[in-house]
Amino acid sequence: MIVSTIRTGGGKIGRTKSQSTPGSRRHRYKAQIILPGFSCGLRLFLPALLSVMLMTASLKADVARIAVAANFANVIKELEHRFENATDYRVSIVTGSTGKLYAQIVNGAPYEVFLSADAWRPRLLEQGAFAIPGTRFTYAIGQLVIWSLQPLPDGKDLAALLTNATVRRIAVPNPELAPFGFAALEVINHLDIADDIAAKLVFAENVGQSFAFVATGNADLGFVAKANILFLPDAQRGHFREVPTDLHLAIRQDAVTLKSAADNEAALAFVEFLRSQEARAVIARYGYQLADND
Amino acid sequence: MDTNWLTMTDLSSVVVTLKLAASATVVLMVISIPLAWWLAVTHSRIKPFVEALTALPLVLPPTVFGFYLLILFNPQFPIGAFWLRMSGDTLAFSFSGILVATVLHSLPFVVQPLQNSFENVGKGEIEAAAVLGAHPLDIFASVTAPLAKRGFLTAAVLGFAHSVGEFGVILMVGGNIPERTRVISIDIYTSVETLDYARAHLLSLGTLIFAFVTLLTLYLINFGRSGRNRAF
Repeated sequence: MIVSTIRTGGGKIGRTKSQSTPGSRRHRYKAQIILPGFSCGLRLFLPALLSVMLMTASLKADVARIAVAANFANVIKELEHRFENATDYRVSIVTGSTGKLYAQIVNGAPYEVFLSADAWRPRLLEQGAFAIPGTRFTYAIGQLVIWSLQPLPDGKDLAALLTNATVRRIAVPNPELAPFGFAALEVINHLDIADDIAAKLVFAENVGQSFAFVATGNADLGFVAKANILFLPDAQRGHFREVPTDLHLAIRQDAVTLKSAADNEAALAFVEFLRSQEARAVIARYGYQLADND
Repeated sequence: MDTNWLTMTDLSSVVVTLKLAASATVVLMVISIPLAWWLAVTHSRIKPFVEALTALPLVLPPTVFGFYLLILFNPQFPIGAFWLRMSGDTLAFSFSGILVATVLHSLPFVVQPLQNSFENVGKGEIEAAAVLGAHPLDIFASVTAPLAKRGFLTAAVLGFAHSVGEFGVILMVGGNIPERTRVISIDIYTSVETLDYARAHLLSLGTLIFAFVTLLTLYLINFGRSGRNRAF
C-alpha cells in the first residue's frame, strides 16, 4: 500500500511534466507549484519511513526484549551496558512489577526473557508452556530493606521501628504483584504487628513506586530492595536497615527464557551473559546474594 | 493483613469512587461558577492565560500532575506541611489528596461548559437589567443563571463523570488503600494485573454502563430542547 501511494505521487509529477517540455527548468518549477505541499512531504517521508521499517525488521533478530522486575531495574541497566559493549547484540528493557509482567507474558507480550523477582511465576510460565523448559535459574536472591530519609533509631527492634508513633506512613509494594511486598507482609505478620500498623500502610505498584513514595517525602518508611539504595549517591542515601532474612522466605529471583526466544540469538546470548562471572559480580555488588545453581 | 481482600463482594472501591466524584463535583462547581463567570464577562488581558491554565488538564499527561502533586504533598514542603498541621494527616495517600488531584484534573470539564453557557446568554438581557439598575450579582442570579441552567447541568454531570473516570493521577498519589484511596479504576487495574478477570469484568461493565447512561441522559435532555443555550 505504501509503495502504491508513492507511485501515485510520482505519477502526478510525470503527467505535469509530460504536458510541457521535459527537462525545462521553468516547467519543473511549475510542476512543484501544482503539487500540493502535502504530497511533496509525503514523497520524501514515505521512502524514509519504509527504510526505517526495513531497518527495524533486519535489526529485530539482534535485539532481545527483556522483562525485568522493578527491584532489578538499576542493575539491568549496568548489565545491558556491559553486554552491549561486549557483543553486537542489543537488549531492550521493560520494567514493572513481577505480577504485571507475568500477566503481560500470559497475554502474549513480545518478551524473550523474563527476570522475575520470585521463583513461582517463572515456574508457572514453564508449566504453562510459555517458557522453554529447563531454562529457569536463580540469578539473584533479593535483600529486603526498610528505608527512610530520616535517621532511624538505634537498636535492632524492627517492630518498635514500624510501630513508632512518629511513623505516619509505611510504603509497601503491592504484595499481590511484587515479591518484595509479599516478603514485607510476611515480616509484618511474623512480628505480629499487622493490626497495629494496618492504617499506616500504603501500597505501591512495585518496589520502584515504594522507593518514590519515600524519596518524595510522602512516606516515612518504605520497604524497598537494597539495590535501590546502593545505587543512590551517598548524599541521597538516607538511612536503611536490612530486614533479617529469617523473618521471611528467601526472595529467590528466577530468570526464564520464553518460547519466542528460541530463534533469537541476542536473547540466548544475554542469558548466557547473565550466568557469567562478570554479571554475577555486578549483581553481588548491588546487595544481592548469589545462588550456586549452575 | 488479609491478602485475599479482592473478592467479588468487596465493593468498597465503588463506595470510595462515588464519594470522591460527589465531593469533587461540589468543590468543582463552587470553584468553577465564579471562575467561568469571570472568564465570560472579562476583557482583562490575563484572560487567555487563565483560560490556558484551566485547560491544561485536557492536554497534560496525568503523570505530570501526579509527579508535581507528589512533590507538593511532601510534608517537608510548605503546602504538605500546612496540610499536616491543619489536619494531622498527609495529603498523599489520603482521601483529601485524591480529591485535590481529581478537582484539579477535572477543572476544564466543568469550567468550559459553564463559560460557554454564560457567554451564550444574550448581551441584550444583561444590558437591560444593568440599565434598570440591577447589581452585577443580582444580574447573575436572576438573569444569567436561569438562562444558563443547562450549562450548570452539563458541567455538573461532566465533572462527576470525569471524576469517576480519574485514574493516572490517583495511581501516582493514592497509595491503593482499600476503603480510602482505592477507586474503581485502580481496582480494575489491579484486578487485571493479578489476572482476576472476573472482578475486572464486573467493575468494567458496571462503569461502562454508568458512563453510557450518564452521557445518554445528558444528551437526551439537550436533544429535548433546542435553542441558543446548548452547551455542547
